[in-house]
Amino acid sequence: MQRQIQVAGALLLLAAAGCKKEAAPTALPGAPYTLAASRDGEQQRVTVKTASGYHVNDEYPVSFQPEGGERLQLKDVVTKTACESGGGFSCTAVVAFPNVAGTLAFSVCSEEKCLIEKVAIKPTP
Amino acid sequence: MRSLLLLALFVPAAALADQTPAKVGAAAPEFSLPDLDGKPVKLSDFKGKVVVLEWFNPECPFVKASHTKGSLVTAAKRATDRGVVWLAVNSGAPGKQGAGAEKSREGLKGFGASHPVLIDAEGTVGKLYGATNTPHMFVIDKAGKLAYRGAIDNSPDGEGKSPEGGKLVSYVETALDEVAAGKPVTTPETKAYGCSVKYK
Repeated sequence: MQRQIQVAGALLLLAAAGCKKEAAPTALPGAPYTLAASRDGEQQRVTVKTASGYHVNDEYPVSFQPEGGERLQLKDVVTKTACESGGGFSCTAVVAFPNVAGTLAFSVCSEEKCLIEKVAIKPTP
Repeated sequence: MRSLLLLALFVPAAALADQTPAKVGAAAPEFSLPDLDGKPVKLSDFKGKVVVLEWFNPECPFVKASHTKGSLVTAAKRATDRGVVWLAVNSGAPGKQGAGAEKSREGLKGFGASHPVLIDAEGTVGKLYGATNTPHMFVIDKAGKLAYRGAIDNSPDGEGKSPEGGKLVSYVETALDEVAAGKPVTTPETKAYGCSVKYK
């Protein structure tokens, strides 16, 4: 599934030099998660937050494939936060990768189904 | 008459309940399940042959990825061409994602596959084998012993593009090669990846 994320510069809350710039979560219509992007120097940091009833699929190898470049495996550099509802699952995942255009691949699951998501990412200003 | 019908329905489940759960190196548990046309298929029908069991949910994105991009593309055909029996098993409960004969038939068509799919709506056989994921793979050798249980490969994205260690390894193909050569399977058990089996 290809989805476009446009993180508008106007939404950046912190613009002071040297500060991490945070973007408001981008609600994707119909998707059981939200995404937020921020810039940290040459890196882009994306936060995946699942909707109620869903969790991040810990077994899926999260990756980022820059346009025209080789896929970067990010499984071991994802920071996850446990769901407030418990159950041993993670409901938030933060992943960092170069601030270039590409495709972020991850997976979220509910009790009923799993989704493999491939989201087109643009550089965060 | 109704009692007889009910008895006929429950006898197989009761018989299965007495069986020892599947264990690598031990005899694979016997089962009888209907195929997509309702015809019963027994494991013992294939005595003396190598059998692959593939736990199947045509609507699971990992199954879709494996059958359209990853290690399951043409895997069943290649295996059957070398005399292996390849059976998919759908243990999804009625009403759940990908469950039932109709969805299985549609899935096979979409994947360009033609191997048999057996319907395990009660989940009895799935639980007997310890199937937790779709896909979840089992290789049974000619002697009827379970030789391999686990993932199809070492790339848990289902596409074969994220192999752990950098090199794609098809555990099932390796197991089939080793079983055919009469050798012990080097990696007899791995952790399956994919969707959970949608049991009752």
